[in-house]
Amino acid sequence: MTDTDDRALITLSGIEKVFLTDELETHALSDVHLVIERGDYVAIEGPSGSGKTTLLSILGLLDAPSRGRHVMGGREVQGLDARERARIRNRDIGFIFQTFNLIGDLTVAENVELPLRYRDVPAAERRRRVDSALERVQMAHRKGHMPSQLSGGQQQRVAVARAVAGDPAILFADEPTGALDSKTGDAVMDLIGELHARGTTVCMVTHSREYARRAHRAIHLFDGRVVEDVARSVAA
Amino acid sequence: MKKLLSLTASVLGDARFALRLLARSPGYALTLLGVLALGIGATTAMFSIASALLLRPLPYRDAEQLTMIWKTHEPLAREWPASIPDFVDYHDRNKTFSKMAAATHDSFSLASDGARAEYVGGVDVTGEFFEVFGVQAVHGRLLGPADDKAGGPPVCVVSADLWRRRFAGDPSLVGRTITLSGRPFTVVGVVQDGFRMGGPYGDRIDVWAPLAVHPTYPEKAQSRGNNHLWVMGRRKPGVTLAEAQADMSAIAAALAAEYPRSNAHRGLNLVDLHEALVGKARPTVFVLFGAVALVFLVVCANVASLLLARGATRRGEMAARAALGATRARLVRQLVTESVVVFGVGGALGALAARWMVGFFADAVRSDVWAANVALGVDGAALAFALGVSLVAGVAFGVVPALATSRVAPQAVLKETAAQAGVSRAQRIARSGLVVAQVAVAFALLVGSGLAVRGFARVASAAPGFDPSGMVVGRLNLPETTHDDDAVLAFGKRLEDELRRSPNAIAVATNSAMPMVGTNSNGWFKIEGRNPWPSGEGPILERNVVSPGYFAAMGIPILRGREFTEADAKDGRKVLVISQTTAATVFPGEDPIGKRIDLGASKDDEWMEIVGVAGDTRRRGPASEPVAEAYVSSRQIPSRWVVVAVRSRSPEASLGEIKDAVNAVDPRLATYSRQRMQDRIDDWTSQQRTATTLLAAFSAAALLLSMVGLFGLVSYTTSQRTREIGLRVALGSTPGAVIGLVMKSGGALVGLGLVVGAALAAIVARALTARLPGVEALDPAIFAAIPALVGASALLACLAPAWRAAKIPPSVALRYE
Repeated sequence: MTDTDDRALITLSGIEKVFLTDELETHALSDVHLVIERGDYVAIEGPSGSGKTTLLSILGLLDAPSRGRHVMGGREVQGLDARERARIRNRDIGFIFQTFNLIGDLTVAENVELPLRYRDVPAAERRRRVDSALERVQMAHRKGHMPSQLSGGQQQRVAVARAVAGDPAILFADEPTGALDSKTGDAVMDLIGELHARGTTVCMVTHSREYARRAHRAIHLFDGRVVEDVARSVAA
Repeated sequence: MKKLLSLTASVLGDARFALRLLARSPGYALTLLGVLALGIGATTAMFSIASALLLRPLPYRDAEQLTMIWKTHEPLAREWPASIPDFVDYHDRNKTFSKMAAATHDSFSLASDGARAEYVGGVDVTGEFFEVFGVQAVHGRLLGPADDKAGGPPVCVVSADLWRRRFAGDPSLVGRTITLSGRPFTVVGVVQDGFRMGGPYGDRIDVWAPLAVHPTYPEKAQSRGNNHLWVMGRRKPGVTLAEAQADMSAIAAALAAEYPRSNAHRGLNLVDLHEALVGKARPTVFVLFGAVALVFLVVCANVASLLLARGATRRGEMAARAALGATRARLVRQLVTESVVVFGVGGALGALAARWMVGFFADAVRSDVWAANVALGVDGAALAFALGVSLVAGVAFGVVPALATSRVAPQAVLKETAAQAGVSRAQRIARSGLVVAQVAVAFALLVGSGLAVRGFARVASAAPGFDPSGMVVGRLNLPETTHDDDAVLAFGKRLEDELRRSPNAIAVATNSAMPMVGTNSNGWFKIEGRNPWPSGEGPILERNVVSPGYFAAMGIPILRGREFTEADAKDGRKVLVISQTTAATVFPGEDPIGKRIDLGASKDDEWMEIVGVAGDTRRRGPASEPVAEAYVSSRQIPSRWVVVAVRSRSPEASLGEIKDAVNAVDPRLATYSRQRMQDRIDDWTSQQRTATTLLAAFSAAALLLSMVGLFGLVSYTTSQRTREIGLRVALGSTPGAVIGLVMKSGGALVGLGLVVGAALAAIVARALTARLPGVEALDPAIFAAIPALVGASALLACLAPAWRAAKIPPSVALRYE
């Protein structure tokens, strides 16, 4: 696969991430090569400290690699400044976080609307997209509520709606069920599965073997290196 | 355009969010807005006063053309009145004034409709007086040049206030005759509302009468040495003050050449009338405005600290926003908008608070303000100021917290909430810096108020030179038209007798110019056997006409010789008592008793023999130095200006008895300014007292705010160090050592604040020395006490978090998240 391959959404080549703390140098990622194609459903697995979160940070342009090449949508992004990275995050990437990260002082609708506001989407269009996204996660009836009035599962559904409202090219999920009970976690994973079925590219970090099995491809990390990258048949 | 609309909508969205944040945290909002409302309110109130006094023109047409024309006699005085012949020459010879007028104080006893006589403030004015100010009559007409003719009919104009108060607003008052100090005057008009002008010392005037119809006018019009007129003029359009000064100086020089006996060494000093009226209030206004501005800085720093503290709890939110695509600039804009909203709401509340604060602060300057001519209040300019200050401070003090709070790595959003909520280094440095700044400003303000308090104490504790205890005073004037010299003499004796009959009276005395009460009368003098000083170059003596027994009644010691007795009669040998300062300056190394002085009261030599030397008094207020004084007996040279003093067993009762006694002796006369002597003395220092009190209050508020800031910071940083402290305790650290550890962190900030504050304090001290009486810039007691006070306060502020830290069991500390 090449950078110009239409199917390649993200390409990492020789990515390294080094953290410097006082005199200590920690290699969080070493020589990572990875291609995520459009329509992929990828699970990133690995034990604690293996570099999963760091890899997700770099994939999602939340952080920049120390070395290596990072191409997204055919464009090299590893050298972009913070402002441009923020712009790409806003337009092309959706995030679902373990602890939801809804803003407590905004309503459900306002939380979903937030990335659209940062994109300066006109108000009418924002309203339409918010309503549509909330419909998709079946939370339209709670749009005027505050996050504190919702259960954990409901909050994560709202977070999913926020992630997809901007129609991103890829959805990154960081332990999306980590703060939920199993039943609610199942429901959220079902929702992510539905989004993928409708064409959304999904890249998820998880500790859960069960949920990892729902992905079509598993990338296993150990000590900051990709030690396994396998396509798998999807569990029913 | 589309982009602008989008930006506006976005900013409004941020503003709405800010309001929601405030509404969801009422305690936080109340603290924040309360502090801001007081800070902005105080600043706006002081701006209102400064604006009214120093910026806003007087409420008269083309007020910038109004000019005060002082006669001068360097180096004795730069603010002297002029004589009638001088004024006539100023008026007729000048080329730079379109109108010029003069006024002299002439308080009246108003008797009408069978009611008891009432004192009303009045002035005798020349013909163009009302034209100078460009005011109108609401009924009838105003006085004009045609009224100001010697021998003309006695007419007058009254104030709208007197017209409503005394005459129930009856329009038929115009044309009626009223009796003023026994003389009939026909009221020709009522002047427009609010006009009470009578000259630089004539405030709250109710009656204006033509100068030329006064019975003494013909005599005074012949004397260039009788200086009693305050001269004001309206410059011609386009004429600058400097041009008018040059014009008038040339006239003064010509008069000095023409009339060397009376006008040698006399000049003219022109100042804008606005400056003449309110210029003396400027130092106090500057001091208070400066203090309020410093307090406002502390308030802003405090609010910025609160915003920073709040920001520390929002790092997760900021990281989430950043992850969702918000740039740093966008986050900063949102946070600054929030700050502006907070300051804006605080500013709106502050503008409301300013409405009542302005009255409170005005007391600190009012004695120097001719309140009838300058309206103090919160107007549109003050509201615009409050808005401007709120917006500027909102941005200025919102930027630092915004920069610190928005400095968040977006990848932090992937970490645990506890980690996100931690305080960043930038936030810690910013908060520490703000606490240091608050301590520094509070220290400087405390030094300033400490110096002011000490200065005031020096002034207030200065011995007045007489004993004011149990003493009450009242003033009255005896008109020439009803009281010749014999009648004045008889009135004085009868009044004293009447008052002495009261069982409350311990002693009774009168003086034409009581220290700190009456008007001053002064002049040059000659000493028998010595060459007279060249005209206008000799020292001057303050003249007092006092009753026999005056010194004993007032508690003024007779240092040599004797005081006056009833034996010093009108036809007897003229005698004189001089003050200690007079003896020391005029007769150094000599015994003045038996020497003779001519006070120049009459054209012929009238030698008066010195029979006594009395102790000095502080005639011009507690902060003033004693001046050379001479006393003559009211039995020998009666005075129409009378201040009666009664030392009483029941001062309250005696205040009424003075009024009753005057009414019993002559019902046509009214007394005014009746009050306790101590209150009168306090009046002299009331402005300084109020200013000092305000300074102390401001500095206390600054200290409290800075200590709250210190407490908050030390509490927070201590809570952040709980694990570390627990570990130290587990490893054997004693509670004392833990307390020391926490105190050290707070102490370092306070120490730095004191160092920075010392430089600021030196500036404040120097500024105060020039503006408040009695203040010594390098007062070691203050510079030793204030750091100790700040240190003790800081100790208290740090003690609670330190104590809390010391009580943490190591097991709990080690489990702390």
